[in-house]
Amino acid sequence: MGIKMISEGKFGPQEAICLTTTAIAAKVFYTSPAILSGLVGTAGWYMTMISASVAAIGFAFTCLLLKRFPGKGIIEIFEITMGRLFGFIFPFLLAMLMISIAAIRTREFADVLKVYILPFTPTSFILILFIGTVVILSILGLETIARLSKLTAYVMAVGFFVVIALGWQNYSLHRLFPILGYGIGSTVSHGIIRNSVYGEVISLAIFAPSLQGISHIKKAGYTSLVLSGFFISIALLAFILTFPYYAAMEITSPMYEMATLIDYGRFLQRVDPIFLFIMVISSLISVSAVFYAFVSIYCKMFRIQDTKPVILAASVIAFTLAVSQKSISDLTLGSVQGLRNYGGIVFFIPPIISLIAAKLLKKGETKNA
Amino acid sequence: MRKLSLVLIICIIAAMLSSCYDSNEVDDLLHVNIIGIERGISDKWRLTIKFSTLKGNPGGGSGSGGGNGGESGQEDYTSLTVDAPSLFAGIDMLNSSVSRRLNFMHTEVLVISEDLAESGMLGEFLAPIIRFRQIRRSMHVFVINGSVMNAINTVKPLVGTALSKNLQIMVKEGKATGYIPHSTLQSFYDQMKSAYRQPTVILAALSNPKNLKINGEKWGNKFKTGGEYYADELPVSRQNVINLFGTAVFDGDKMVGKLTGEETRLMQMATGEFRMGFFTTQDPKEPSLVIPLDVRQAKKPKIIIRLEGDKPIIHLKVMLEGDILAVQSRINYEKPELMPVLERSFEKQIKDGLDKLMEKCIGFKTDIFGFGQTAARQFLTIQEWEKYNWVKNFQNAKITTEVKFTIKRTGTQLKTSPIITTKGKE
Amino acid sequence: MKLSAAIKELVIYKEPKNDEGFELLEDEYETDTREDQKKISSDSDSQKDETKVFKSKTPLKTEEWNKAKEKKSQNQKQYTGNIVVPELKKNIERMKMEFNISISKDVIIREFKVARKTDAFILYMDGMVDKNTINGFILRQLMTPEYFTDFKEGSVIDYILDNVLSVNKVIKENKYDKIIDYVLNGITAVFIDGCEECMIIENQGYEKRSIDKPVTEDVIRGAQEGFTENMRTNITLIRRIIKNKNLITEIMPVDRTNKTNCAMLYVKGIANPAVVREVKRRITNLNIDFISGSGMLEELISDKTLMPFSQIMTTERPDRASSHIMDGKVILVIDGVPFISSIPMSFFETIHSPEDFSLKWQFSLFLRYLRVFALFVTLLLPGLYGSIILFHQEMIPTELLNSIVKSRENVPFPTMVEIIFLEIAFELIREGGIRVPGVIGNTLGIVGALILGQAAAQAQLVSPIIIIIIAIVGISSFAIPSYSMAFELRLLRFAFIFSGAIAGFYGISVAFVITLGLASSVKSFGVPYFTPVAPKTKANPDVISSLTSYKQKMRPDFVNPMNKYKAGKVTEEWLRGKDGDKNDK
Repeated sequence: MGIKMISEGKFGPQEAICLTTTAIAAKVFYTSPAILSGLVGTAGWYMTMISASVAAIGFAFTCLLLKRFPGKGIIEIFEITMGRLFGFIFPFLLAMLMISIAAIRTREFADVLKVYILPFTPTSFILILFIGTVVILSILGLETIARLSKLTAYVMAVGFFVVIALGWQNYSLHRLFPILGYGIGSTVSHGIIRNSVYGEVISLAIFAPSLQGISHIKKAGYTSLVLSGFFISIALLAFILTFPYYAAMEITSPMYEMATLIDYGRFLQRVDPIFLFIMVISSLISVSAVFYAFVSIYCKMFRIQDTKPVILAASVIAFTLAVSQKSISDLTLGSVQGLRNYGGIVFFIPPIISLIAAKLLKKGETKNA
Repeated sequence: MRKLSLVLIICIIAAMLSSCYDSNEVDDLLHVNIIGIERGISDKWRLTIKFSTLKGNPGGGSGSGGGNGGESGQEDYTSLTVDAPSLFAGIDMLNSSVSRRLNFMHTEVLVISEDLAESGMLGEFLAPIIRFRQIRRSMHVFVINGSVMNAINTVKPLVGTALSKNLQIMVKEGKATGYIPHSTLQSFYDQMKSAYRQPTVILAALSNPKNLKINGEKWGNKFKTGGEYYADELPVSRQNVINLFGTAVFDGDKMVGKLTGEETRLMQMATGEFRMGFFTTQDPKEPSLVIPLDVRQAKKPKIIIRLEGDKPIIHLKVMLEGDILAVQSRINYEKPELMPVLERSFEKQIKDGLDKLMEKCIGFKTDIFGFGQTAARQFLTIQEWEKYNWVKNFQNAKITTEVKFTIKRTGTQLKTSPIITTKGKE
Repeated sequence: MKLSAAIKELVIYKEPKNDEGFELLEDEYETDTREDQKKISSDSDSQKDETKVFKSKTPLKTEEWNKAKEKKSQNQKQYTGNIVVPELKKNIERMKMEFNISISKDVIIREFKVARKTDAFILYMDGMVDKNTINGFILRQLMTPEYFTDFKEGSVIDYILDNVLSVNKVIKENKYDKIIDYVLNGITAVFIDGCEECMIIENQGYEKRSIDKPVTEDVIRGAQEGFTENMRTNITLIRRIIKNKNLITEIMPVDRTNKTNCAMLYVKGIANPAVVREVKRRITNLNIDFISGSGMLEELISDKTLMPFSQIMTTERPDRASSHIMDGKVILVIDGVPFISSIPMSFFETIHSPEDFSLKWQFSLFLRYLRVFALFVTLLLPGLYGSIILFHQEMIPTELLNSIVKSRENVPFPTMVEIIFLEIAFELIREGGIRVPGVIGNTLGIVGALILGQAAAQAQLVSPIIIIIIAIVGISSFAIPSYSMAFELRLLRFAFIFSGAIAGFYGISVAFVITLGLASSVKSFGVPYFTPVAPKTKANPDVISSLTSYKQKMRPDFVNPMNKYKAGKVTEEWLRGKDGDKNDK
């Protein structure tokens, strides 16, 4: 049954953790926290933990599925358990989701950059640079992306905490209250719906052949969920401590605005461009990971050996998708919300269906075999 | 090799074609130090900006003598005013008269005129400023009485040559005395939209040397704490200096009142932002003399709030500590028996001041102390909190205050011996 | 000459001399094939090289064809096999032909009689042999008949080897090509009439540089010896430090015509055999005429990648080479250049300096971090400066900004041009400073840079800040211990300047990610470049921070050494009171 795989190299759990955490946590730099505080008010920081737990449940099912088929990635498992038709549709959906995430995130990034840093540069220039880098990284391969993320992850985490710590003088505990936001019901429901924030953890399942063994995948998955949940939660907490909920929903990029407010005396002020490094590097790695996931799924679906032509073609698709958004409002209120609300379905439901199918049709190994 | 050079050439050509839209040489831009807005006569807005004309030597740069900068002289600052329908129209108009492009990234101060503030139109004036990417929210905000154009035109750096340094230090050192509140664009905007409290802005004025009466009879012994002025009343001699003294109190975006310097200090004690300052209190045993004290905040104030329907019952406990700076009467207040006397008298003074301040603010119907922040803890969801509408209910509030003050140190002297004159010991 | 004659000569027309000068035309001397070389190096005993191919571009005329045939028959009279023949005359003629003795006067053939009876000759390269050995040991001992009184019958060579020659290293050889190789390396060959072998007596005595301080890697508190150009001396230097019986030296020739010697050193039992095999495979399968030194060899056996990062570590110091060997790496020593290569390599070794373990760990920790900082400074600082000035002026304090603007008031060049101009000027000074003779050289560096910079600032060609920046960048590039890494960074710096000029910090981050990505994909003999950080392997705490020596217990994991631990569980056993007089804790 061997599908000849594109050779993706091997990398260890530490690199997987760094990669997934960066892929997930890069979201916090864009406009979503503002929308979030419009939806749930002051409760954003623990709502995201609810999302993380839902994603963890979804991931647990995926792990169960992977355990039945050791050494195989989730795309092959779809094909094995559900036959050609569904084994084609589900990866197709997943691939479409991945490429839209990549494109939308690129556009979000470009818009934030245009608003705050480079107002006169045409968007396509920023997008071309960005997608060009993503293409180069994808051509170099998955191992390279993983190693790159490992190298930069520690520095970026430190930088992230420094920025959050430096904003300390603007924090005011009273902005957290009333503590339940717009009510527990709204918090929990939004939390459950928006679990696609952590959906990139599925990419670990896609790259499963490169990680050695199910225990590594499990460890990497749960650790990265915990870590990224921690990062996003801390960011949202810092953010709500700085801006009260009514002002928070107005700001285009809350994290960047927080960095702008750092003002410690005559020297340490206006240092927000330093923050830009963290934002750009984490966005690049995050989009590369998602983009490569798309290429990988595509190649596995159609049994293509060489990824280079697919990468080049996919970059054109991504660029077109990114450029075709009409405006930033369209982007944030339309596409991003759509992705958030419905992405969870595509991320986590197919593995559950596949698991049920595998159990019913008695495919794959079980523990007592 | 050929592929590589092809790629490089394409990169270089592409980069050159894109012509680096955002790259601005340092001499393309003109950095504005102060913005002032007020109501215009020829048009809706009157926008005043102040910037450096960049004449004069760069600091010690090409000096052939090395260290001595020679007569680097005064850096020249000028201001420009324009009447325009909106901020951006004004910027464009100014751009046409100035040889470089205006850039607001280094602007330190936003000055608003008092009559603009009182007209209630500040919300629409602030809207473009907040959204503009070049304007940073860490900018300071002043409310000045009189003409903004005049004030900005005449202000000059008093010490040193750099206006930006002057402005920054002025505001920051003001925190050491407590006579001005903490007010940046971020805090102002935040408090304007806030359901927890109302905005306070630094009150500024161009100094009026007429306040310092040259001729007249000498002061006697009437007690004044030294802070009971509004900014335009300060008796300071120099002309064309901006005094920062006091607070402007807003209700939403409309200015409703002013606080003197002393009241600002008390307000800061209530919010917990007070750091330190010199206070003068009457000598309890010798009312014609005063005792200055160096007072600091010991702990953040404790606020207990009980909500009875529409009426909040608030209890405020302020904790201070301080050092004795001088005992004019040479009575030994350093003795353990007499120290509490001094402490109680000061506490009473502060408490009276606080009570008067609270009444004044309830009169303004504004909660500038941030009691709402503590009240919000009693609500669970935002909907309930907003339904309660703290801002409106504050006027029904009943506030009781309590002050606790301890003297820690007495300066370089442990006691004061009497002065011996021909009439005996005094 | 007389004045009138001089004037006449000046004025009167003279015909030009018919001097065409020398022109190098494409003619029939060029051959495309290397079959000549192939034939000689083949190991065949038979005489099958009659078919000497004579390739030319135009068809041969009859006379030339006849001449070629004559030459062939003449050659057939000579012996063209590879084994030494007993007839001395034939050997002499063969050697004369091989070494072109009629034209080249370097090779000396000295004929003499052994024990006043047998003919013999010695063959050596003038200037490369130790004449004392030839005079005192070979010629004298062989010419003295008293040594041969016991000789009855049997092989002369064996008798001489056993009883007569008191030389420390003598071997027997019977293949011509090997003999020629030996002679070319400065070894004497002795042919005796009637013997089918010749004796090879090792007595190299050529002039070489004595051991000197290393040029590029100077340290203060460390050994002051550096390698030289001679392979044997270098190996000796290493052997003085590593006295391990399992230290293997494999010597193999690397190129075809020149047979440059290359030695591969490793410790059997520590180095991974797969790496050893791979290195050997790559070296022996090179088809090139001349390798001038370790630099060329490195280029030829590295994996080809786009990135300018080198995958083989070069060093000039024996102590560093020895620590690499003891870590389980393979060392290549080659004749001609005083640098040796060590394989495999990881990026983090470029910031290790040999001094790091001579100092206390706190100091070397500080130095290591300083070097990492220098690495970032030298790579990013001009690009960062350019992008801050052009795109992010908000980061500059207001007073500094006003001062910069004022100082640039009369400067005509835009910032980018300034930066590139000064960078190139600095590189020129550096490159020129290498070749300026002695006394002027040192002063040119400092004085040139400072005064030129100062003068340029005063002439308002450049702003003073950029001079400081370029100076800091230059100095920090010298702080990096590895010479080749400093070079790589210098090149990459231009890419960063360029990208900073296009898109500010965004451009620099993009360029940084691309560079880092390309560097992460580099593999040095199967080992990823950024080991042990990415991928994570069990490593010493010696990546960037160098902690105390007693914590360095393991060999670096990426070489997959066979013996992982290089120190026992407790390095400092004296703390436990072992073998102490009093303490018994």
